[in-house]
Amino acid sequence: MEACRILVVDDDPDVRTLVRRTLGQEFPCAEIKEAGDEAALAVTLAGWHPDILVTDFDLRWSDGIRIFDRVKAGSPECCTVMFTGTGNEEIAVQAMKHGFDDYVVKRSNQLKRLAASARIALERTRERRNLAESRDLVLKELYHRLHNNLQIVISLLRMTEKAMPDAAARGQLADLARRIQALTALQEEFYRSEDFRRVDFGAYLERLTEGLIGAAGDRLRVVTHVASTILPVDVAVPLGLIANELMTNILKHAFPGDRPGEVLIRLDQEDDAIVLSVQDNGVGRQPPSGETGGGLGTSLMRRLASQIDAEVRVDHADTGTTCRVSLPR
Amino acid sequence: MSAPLRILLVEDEALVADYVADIVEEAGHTVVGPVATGEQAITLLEAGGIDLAILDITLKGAMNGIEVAGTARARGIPHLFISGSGDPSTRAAALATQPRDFLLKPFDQDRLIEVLRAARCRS
Repeated sequence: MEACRILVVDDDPDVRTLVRRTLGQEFPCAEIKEAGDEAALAVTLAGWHPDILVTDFDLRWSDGIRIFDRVKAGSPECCTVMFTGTGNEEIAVQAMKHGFDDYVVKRSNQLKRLAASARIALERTRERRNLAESRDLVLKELYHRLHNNLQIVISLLRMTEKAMPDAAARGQLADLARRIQALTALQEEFYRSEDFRRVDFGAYLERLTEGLIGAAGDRLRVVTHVASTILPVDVAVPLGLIANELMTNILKHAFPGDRPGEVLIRLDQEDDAIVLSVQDNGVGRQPPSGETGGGLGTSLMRRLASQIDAEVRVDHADTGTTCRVSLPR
Repeated sequence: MSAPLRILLVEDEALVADYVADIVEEAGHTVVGPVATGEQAITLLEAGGIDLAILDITLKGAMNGIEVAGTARARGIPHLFISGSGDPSTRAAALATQPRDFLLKPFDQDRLIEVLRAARCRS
């Protein structure tokens, strides 16, 4: 026998008794409580979370919609049935639109229907919960496998890098490992977001900055002004890889010989564009052509920018380098 | 700078274990293990002489890395996690053991080097 908690809300004590008796037969192990006024409802809901709510619509001290909101606030998974004599289609539609699982007209010959309705609503809610739990379990397992497999890929890359006699080839492999890591950080943001098709790019940028430039230690002071910016996956991935290239360039070229410096990273929402800018006060020189990864990095950035119709502008000056990626809204 | 550390490495993926061991040894420390199960890790922790434990969470055998962390803490041995299990509930359980760090796979090797440097200074 299943245990569940049922709350019956109605002004009329006779109706509450009838409903209690009916639901008590349907759910013999249930804990059933009732409320006929505001004070009784407040006492009942204090620390007690019903699985099923049966409420009248027209109460002297409230109405069924308000009761629904109040119960759902503390027990979001509670299933809900409106049981009312104020029978008209408008109220039925209003109740269902508001989220009630069912609506039963209050007549003595409808009590069996009320019990069946509560039973179905409870089973549906439990099925939904089981489905959500299974989904979470699958996602958790996929997430774990993905991260482990990416770690194996990076381990292989890094071990191959070590075995390479050529410094340029080693640099290319290290860059490749960084690019994979940048994608993984983005994956992590997608996992954290409730909508797997969209991500807070601002949060991602903070994470990427911490991972890449933060690893340079105290010699680089990093300032971030990053607005929370929700982007779809097909934009976030290319823009994330561009951000990775920009930061990698700073690490490799802006501050040679462990020179200290500052990096400013901004993500702004302007009227017609989302603008990512990365500014450093390093040597401000363009990396020599043919230097490890530099040529490929730039070409990747241009290609990725064209994919999302973004404009990339890089200004090299004696006081440092400023890169601005402008993404039309 | 203090003396090199003896670092217990608990990781059930052979390639990842080799990669982490390389980083640890290049930083001048000694790797104990690597071992792939929590049970082996506990035996080594109880044998003594470990300064730091690097723990994966999902391991071969019945025990996980978070349980191993409990034994490490009880013996006053600091630990850090390198794990692919970054879901909120696992991460919260791992952080409750007060690790020196939690590196999500694939981890940034510079960050691991920094954690090792800090651990050496604190030892």
